[in-house]
Amino acid sequence: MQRVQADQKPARMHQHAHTHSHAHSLQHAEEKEHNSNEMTTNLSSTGRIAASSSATPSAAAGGGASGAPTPPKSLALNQNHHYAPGSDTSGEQEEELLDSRYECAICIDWLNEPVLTSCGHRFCRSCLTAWMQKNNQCCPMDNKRLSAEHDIFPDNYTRREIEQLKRDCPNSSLGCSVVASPIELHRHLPSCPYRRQQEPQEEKCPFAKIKCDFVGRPETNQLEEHLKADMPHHMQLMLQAFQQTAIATWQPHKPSTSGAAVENGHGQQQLPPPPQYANGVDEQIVQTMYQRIVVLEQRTREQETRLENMQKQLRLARQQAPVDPRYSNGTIVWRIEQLGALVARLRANANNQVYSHECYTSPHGYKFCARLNIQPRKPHVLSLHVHLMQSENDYHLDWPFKGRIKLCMVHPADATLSQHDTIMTKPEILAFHKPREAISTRGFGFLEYANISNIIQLGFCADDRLLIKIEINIV
Amino acid sequence: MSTPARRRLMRDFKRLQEDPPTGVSGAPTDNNIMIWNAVIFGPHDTPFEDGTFKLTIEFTEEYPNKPPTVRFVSKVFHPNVYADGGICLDILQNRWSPTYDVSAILTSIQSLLSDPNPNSPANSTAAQLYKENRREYEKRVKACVEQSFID
Repeated sequence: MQRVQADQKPARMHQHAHTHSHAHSLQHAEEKEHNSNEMTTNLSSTGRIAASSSATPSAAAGGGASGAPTPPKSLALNQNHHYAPGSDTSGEQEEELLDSRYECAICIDWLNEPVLTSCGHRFCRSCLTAWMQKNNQCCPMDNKRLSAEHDIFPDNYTRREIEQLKRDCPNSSLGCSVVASPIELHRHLPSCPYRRQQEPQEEKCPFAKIKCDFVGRPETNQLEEHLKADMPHHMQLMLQAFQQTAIATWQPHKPSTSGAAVENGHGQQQLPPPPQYANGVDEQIVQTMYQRIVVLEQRTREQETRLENMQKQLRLARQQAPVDPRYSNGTIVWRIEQLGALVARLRANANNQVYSHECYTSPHGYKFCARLNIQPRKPHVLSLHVHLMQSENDYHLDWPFKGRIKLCMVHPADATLSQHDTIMTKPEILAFHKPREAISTRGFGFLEYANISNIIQLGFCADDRLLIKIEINIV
Repeated sequence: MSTPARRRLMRDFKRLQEDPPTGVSGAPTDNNIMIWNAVIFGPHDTPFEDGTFKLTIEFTEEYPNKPPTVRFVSKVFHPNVYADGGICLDILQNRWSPTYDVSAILTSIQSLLSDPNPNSPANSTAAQLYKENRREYEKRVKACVEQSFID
């Protein structure tokens, strides 16, 4: 039975999770639009940055230094930012459209060559074949026996439905005009001519053209730090490059030919081909960063849980630091929390009893505690007894104990309504004899101390909390 | 390289992020998607409450047609958890199905904390205490809960 239960729960969780996925996809639709806008903005930004870059040499030639610092940093930042939304958009677009009817429960992706089992579940042909080839002759969903010859059929209806779901290629924003079904897009993407080329694994400094040889790793902010710290070096490199350019153009004997050559070179520099990156590598990098974020979030959650637990323990420790019972002068102030739960527990088992903390009538005097329980035949009343406890003082005290015991159930709102009871000891009662156990098995008090419903109706129980005060005096 | 197992794991991870179940979390390690770290929080109203138990999950290229190897890293006193952290759970063994994703696995283990099966013990002491001395069992469980704070 336990095993069956364990088996059932994951299946239900699976369905539940999927339902949420569907709802989440709807939210993704809005997010997708936002990302599309963001991508458009990025493309415009890139264009503007290119223009600024081409202006930089002129500014430098003119001797204006103020324009130099800004463009490279912005260019680097936007380069970093540009690829992530694209990759996310691609993934989210695919995820958004994956209807549960067209999802294979094994690979959690579009059904490819769907097959239908006799028990009514759909899988990719290859996924189900791989599962059954490992000596699993049953349905992955409900464990029903499956025979490859008699229980598995091509699901041409579903295949046709999926083929009719036409979508744009995720690279349409880069110029691809292909419109195809999800299955066909899977085959098309690896060979799409507009897919991003492989991104270099290292980030070069924008000043590489003037011989700055810095190389930073994309996932760190080394490039940013480099741009801030090494600006004087970049200025020096620019000055050297300018000087060389000035010298190179100093051809007084052949001015026309030299001018033409310089113009051609400059023209080429003005129109560098835009970089292209492979979609797969971008996605891998983004996913790696995403995974790290998740790991860090997980660690944060763990730390928060530990902190919360430690704070809870600290609170308990503070609450449980009462006055040393030796100096309580025979008074027990018993704060009973969660009375409802306590009553339920006492009723559930007649052997359940709850004891208060102990008290001493004086530092070298008698030791007492109190006990609450509910009798099995009288579940509506609370019993309260006082018990003597063994202590290191017993050998020099007079026995049996002679004294007066006052019991008080404190009314939290009106002290005049508190319930007071006074008991005088009698020497013949065994409860007052020298205890033979840590807590004497004989107690003295009331088998029917209070009616539980009255406690609640008369207002003794505030916030499910009950206060009982016991004073024990020697006479 | 992209294999069916790795593509499936990426989708498990995405699903875990988009619809996280209560009380469990997990993610691949930084450089190997075939090895995951996970955390299960002790279920409420059980002696495991407030515990933070770490696990590792190791997949092979046969996933999802074969179950992963799941092991507690934190010390867990439980009838169905071996001394080395291995877990005796039927869906991780003979009753595995390829439709179980990482989320379902972690949720099942969390349920196992609440509902031990003392009849197939991996820890005979825990199984015996669970059946015969529930108070001592809970005391030992609370000790490993406090230990999980330190880990």
